Amino acid sequence: MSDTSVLSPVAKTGTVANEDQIIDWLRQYIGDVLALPEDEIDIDASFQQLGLDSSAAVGMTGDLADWLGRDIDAAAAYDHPTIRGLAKALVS
Amino acid sequence: MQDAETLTPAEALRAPGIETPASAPPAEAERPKMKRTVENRQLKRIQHIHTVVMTVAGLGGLISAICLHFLVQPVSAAALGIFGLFFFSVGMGLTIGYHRHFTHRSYKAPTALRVLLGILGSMAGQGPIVFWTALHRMHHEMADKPGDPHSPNLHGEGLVNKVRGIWHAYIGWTVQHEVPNANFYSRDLLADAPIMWVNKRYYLWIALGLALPALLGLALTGTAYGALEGLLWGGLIRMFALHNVIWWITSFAHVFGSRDYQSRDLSTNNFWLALPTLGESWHNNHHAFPRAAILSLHWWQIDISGGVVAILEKLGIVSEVCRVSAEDKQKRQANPSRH
Repeated sequence: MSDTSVLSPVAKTGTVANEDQIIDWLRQYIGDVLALPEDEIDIDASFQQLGLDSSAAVGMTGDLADWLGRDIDAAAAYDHPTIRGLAKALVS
Repeated sequence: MQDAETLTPAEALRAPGIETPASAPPAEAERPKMKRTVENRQLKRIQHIHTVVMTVAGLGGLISAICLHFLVQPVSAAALGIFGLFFFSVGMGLTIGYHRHFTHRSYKAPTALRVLLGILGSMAGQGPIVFWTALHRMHHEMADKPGDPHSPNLHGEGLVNKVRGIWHAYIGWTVQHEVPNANFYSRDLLADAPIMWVNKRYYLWIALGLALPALLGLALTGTAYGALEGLLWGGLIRMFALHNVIWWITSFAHVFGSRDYQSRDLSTNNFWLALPTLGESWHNNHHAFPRAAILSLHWWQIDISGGVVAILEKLGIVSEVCRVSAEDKQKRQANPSRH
């Protein structure tokens, strides 16, 4: 479906993004949604605390899965509700 | 400014009706991409089950009340009064809260009123604020085209298909629709702390919307039976009634009635629904001028919700109320010969 050439070069299908790259992506994404500078986004705060409701967190996980070019478990954002936690879980 | 050709597909598709923050940084190649809908079967199922539970509970309340009316004792005036009070209050939460303020930002209101409207709207059991606004913005963006969560006009020609379309737009859609991505459609609300406080407590507000009419029934009659009647009429039946009111709009107001103004869709105006829909049935006016807080464009077009906004404005409580100018009205007048 999605043309991987429009995705970020660091995460073409088959290229595994590392934890820091996923953290950066999540910060950018949430910063974009909430109109906040990325450095104001605490990577240890829960998605709820940051301002996403649960459906928004699931929507974000779906967009992250598209970027990474792989499936992410639907419950990932519930099980690992912080930027750091989710990124860690996805590379382990 | 950036060239349309350099846009990625996701950016090029970005909702025209939804404002992206003016401060959005110039496209870095690596800006995270967003889809319009969330492809997550589990989330979709939860939302569809939610609708079924709310609908069945409402219908169950109605059937119970009818049985009590015939088998125990006729419905009391207190119960009907409680119904009216909660129909109006929760209805305002939907029309001037969820719809005109949260979805379309058609006027500015102080935080206390916004929170109150958010709580009242939540009591309707039609989903939390973020979900409802995201879905409704998606409806406006795609109205009567593929991707519209509830269009009656996508089922083909002929009477049978028309009826199928109306059925879909009335109730079928509630268990079929795609789940909108709130990050795409409702980012302004996700960044709105007091509203997210309300959003998070959605089920509490539903419970409150059932408890308050029951308590009022108890207070008015001093009997447990009065409390039960309050619960049924001010809670469950009111919920069922408002669900149906919304469904009249999603279905009938894109099929029957007149198209007085040019809009990108098949929305219609219906005088006969104006009172029970609290003014929302001026739906063609609404689609032609989505940011208008007052949908009445002629003196005879009764819009109770718009009237409430006008009163709140007179009292100095709300401000920056969007109105349709005479010039815009003139410009978008549909050609009468097209009817």
